[in-house]
Amino acid sequence: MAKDREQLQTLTNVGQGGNPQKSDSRDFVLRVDGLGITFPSDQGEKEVIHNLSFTVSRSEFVCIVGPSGTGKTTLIRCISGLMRPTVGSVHLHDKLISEPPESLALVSQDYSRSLMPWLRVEDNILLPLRGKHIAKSEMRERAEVALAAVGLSAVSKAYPWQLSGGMQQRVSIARSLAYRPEVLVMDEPFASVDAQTRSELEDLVLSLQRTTGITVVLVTHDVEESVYLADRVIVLGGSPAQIQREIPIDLGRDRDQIETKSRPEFIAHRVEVLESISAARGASK
Amino acid sequence: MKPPPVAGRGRNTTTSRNVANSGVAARLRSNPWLLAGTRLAVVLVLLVAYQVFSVLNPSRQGTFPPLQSLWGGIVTLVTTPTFWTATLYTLSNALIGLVISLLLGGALGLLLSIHRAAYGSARFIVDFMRAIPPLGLIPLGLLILGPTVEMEITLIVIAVLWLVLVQVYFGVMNVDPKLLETARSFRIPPWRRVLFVTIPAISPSFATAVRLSATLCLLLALGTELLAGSSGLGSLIATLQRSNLMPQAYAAIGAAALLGVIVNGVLVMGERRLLAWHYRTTRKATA
Repeated sequence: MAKDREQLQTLTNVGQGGNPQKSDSRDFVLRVDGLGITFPSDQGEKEVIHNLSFTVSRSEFVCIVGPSGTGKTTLIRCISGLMRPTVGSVHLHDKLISEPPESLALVSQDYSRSLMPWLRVEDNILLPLRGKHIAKSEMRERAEVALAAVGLSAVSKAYPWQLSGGMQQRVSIARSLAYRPEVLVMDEPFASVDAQTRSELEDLVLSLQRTTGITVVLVTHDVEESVYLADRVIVLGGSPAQIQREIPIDLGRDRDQIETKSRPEFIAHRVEVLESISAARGASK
Repeated sequence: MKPPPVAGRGRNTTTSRNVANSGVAARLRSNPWLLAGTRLAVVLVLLVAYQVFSVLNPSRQGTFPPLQSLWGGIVTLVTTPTFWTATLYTLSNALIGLVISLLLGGALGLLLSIHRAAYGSARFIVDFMRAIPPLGLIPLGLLILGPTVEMEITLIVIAVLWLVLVQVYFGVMNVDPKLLETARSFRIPPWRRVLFVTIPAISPSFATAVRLSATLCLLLALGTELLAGSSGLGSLIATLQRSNLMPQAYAAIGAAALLGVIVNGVLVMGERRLLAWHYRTTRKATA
């Protein structure tokens, strides 16, 4: 067990960054400044996101929650450098994100369309590492550790189509872990699996976050999920989307599907998030 | 309440089960020996019909020789070394033509798909060249290159190239953008994305191009030889016909057809094996 933990801690290059308390302003990992996105549409320009600003600290677990169609995926694409915002900026530490940064990994909703169907699980995990001047032995070790961390060591030689949806999503999480990012960005990662698998994956991500101290930004439309996972929930809403509220979640860092979710604080937070979402909906109508 | 276990081989046959499980079709599918037997029976019926026709029309036995003389023709043909060298000649020309078409068409298709403006400008010429019936180019080939190997291969390439090009181009256009974006999010540089994402992703449509063009190459090699060649299986057929050796001519035509069937069969088998991931993935998605 102790050895497993040790191995897991080497998963990220953050090292022992498990305690968010000794943070100063330099400890912001991610900074979003006045971000706005405008798309061309039939009726001229359409503003999707308006003046978004927030920061994410090291080892923090931030959930961005909002109803479907609020531009959450667009926001994620900006944060992960796949797209440039129309106005404003995203910084990773002090560096402006203009292309996908080295220390950030993305896990998206469509696991079946993000794993290469012609590669075995192991090779899918190795694909992002190849050609980056990493020693063969280290690549193999990283893949092994990452697969062990998501509990899939046994299927490293299988093809994605031989695995269930939940397992495929665990493979794409393992792929991100082997990439050893500082920030893990997840776009509706559990939206296309069944409820049982969903709770399992939620707990897996939580425990990985706790052991590695990785910073997580997770986007979801599920209010309960956001409160259960996050240290802080950012509520998006309105049209164009704006930040409605930022709610710190004081549920401690040990969470349990049954115990945590039945606590009065949990329920209070859930109501808080729900209220601010429906307030935004009412205001925009 | 658990639903009762359903008969059938797997979940994928759900839609066709009602139709296929009742009657002869299902029994045929479940028993390969029965299937082979019925296929053989069809061939036998046709042979018997042919023999009856031939025997009843003695005056036309020059064009439709009875089975025993056809068999004689086959035996003579396969024991003649000329037949084997001719077959080898045709096969090797078709193969050279195929390889050149695949390399050239593949490279051009990939290039055009990377620069969309390039496809826009090249599109007319591609569509135009594709529309030319390949055998119509034979007189031109004869005029410029004469009845040579070069002419044969050039004609094959000119006819097959476009099929490969178009297949590769649309293959690339249909690659899931999500796969490429995933690669980009992991900072995989553009040339590696082409090599390790685009190319494997289009391999199913490239395999289709290989299969279609292989048969076409063989057809063109035979056609060119038949109309303008000095050697090869095609010109052997022409010579046999001119010398009025009908049983042998029939045998040579049969050999040409058999060649096509074998080439296609081998390619289909290779495709099934190499692209198992593709068939499994798509079947799962549509189930």
